[in-house]
Amino acid sequence: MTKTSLEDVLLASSTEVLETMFFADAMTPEAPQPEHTDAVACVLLCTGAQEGTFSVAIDRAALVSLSEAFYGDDGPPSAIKELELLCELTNMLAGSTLSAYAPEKYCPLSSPRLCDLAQHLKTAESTQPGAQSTTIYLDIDGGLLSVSTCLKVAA
Amino acid sequence: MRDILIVDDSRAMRNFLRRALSMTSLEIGTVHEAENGLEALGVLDQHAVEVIFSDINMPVMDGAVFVAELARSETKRKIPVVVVSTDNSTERRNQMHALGAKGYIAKPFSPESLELEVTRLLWEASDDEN
Repeated sequence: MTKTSLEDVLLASSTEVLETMFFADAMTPEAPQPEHTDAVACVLLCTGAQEGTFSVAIDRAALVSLSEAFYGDDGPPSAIKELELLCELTNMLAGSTLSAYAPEKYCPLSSPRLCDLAQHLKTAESTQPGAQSTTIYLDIDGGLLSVSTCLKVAA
Repeated sequence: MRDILIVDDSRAMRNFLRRALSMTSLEIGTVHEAENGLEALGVLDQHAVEVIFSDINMPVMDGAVFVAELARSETKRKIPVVVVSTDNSTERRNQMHALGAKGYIAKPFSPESLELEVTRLLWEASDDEN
């Protein structure tokens, strides 16, 4: 697979997760280099057939919007529930992307953990030999979401 | 009314499953929850349920061990287990079915697909009884 197809899979999987589980419309931003505003981020590692890193960053206002859609009528979500949701979102995006990108073999995922935005921005900067990396950006209600990954076929 | 058990270490996913079930036409009774397989076995010792939804990756006792434990139990093996996971690989699906899971729903999923899977399982369960 080429780098472009990893990007296509990441974009399609992310859009499907957001639309199906969060009832959110996701659009590719018009700005050529979109930037986050007051964002939180989360990262996890995958092992097995594909080894690598997935990370997600989301503007806080967009996370509030996603939380309200996800939790429904349970009342306004607390900050803790919003961060739990960011971890779950990261898990879903990684699992969904890997299942589409390498559907035969399973890739165990580590528990998602919160990270800072700087670490997220470095995910796709890896220069490991044989690794493919990409970042996609999506505009959702309330702000920007970005998903980065760096994957390498295990030896 | 059908009582069910949701086994997932993510509170967010337990909440979402509850909500998705409420959006279906299924007649759901009491929804029990557990954060891992071991806790779920304890819930099943106390309460009868008709369907179990279980995640795979959980601390303490993961979904694979939990499903295998159920399959070894004379009293619990008949309760259909639906695996709910982000992992949609062929290898993982085959593994969970071999262990005894009756259904598999990959995230992301809609309330409609959830309803279809539960209806199919309940129909199969009633067919087995007849």
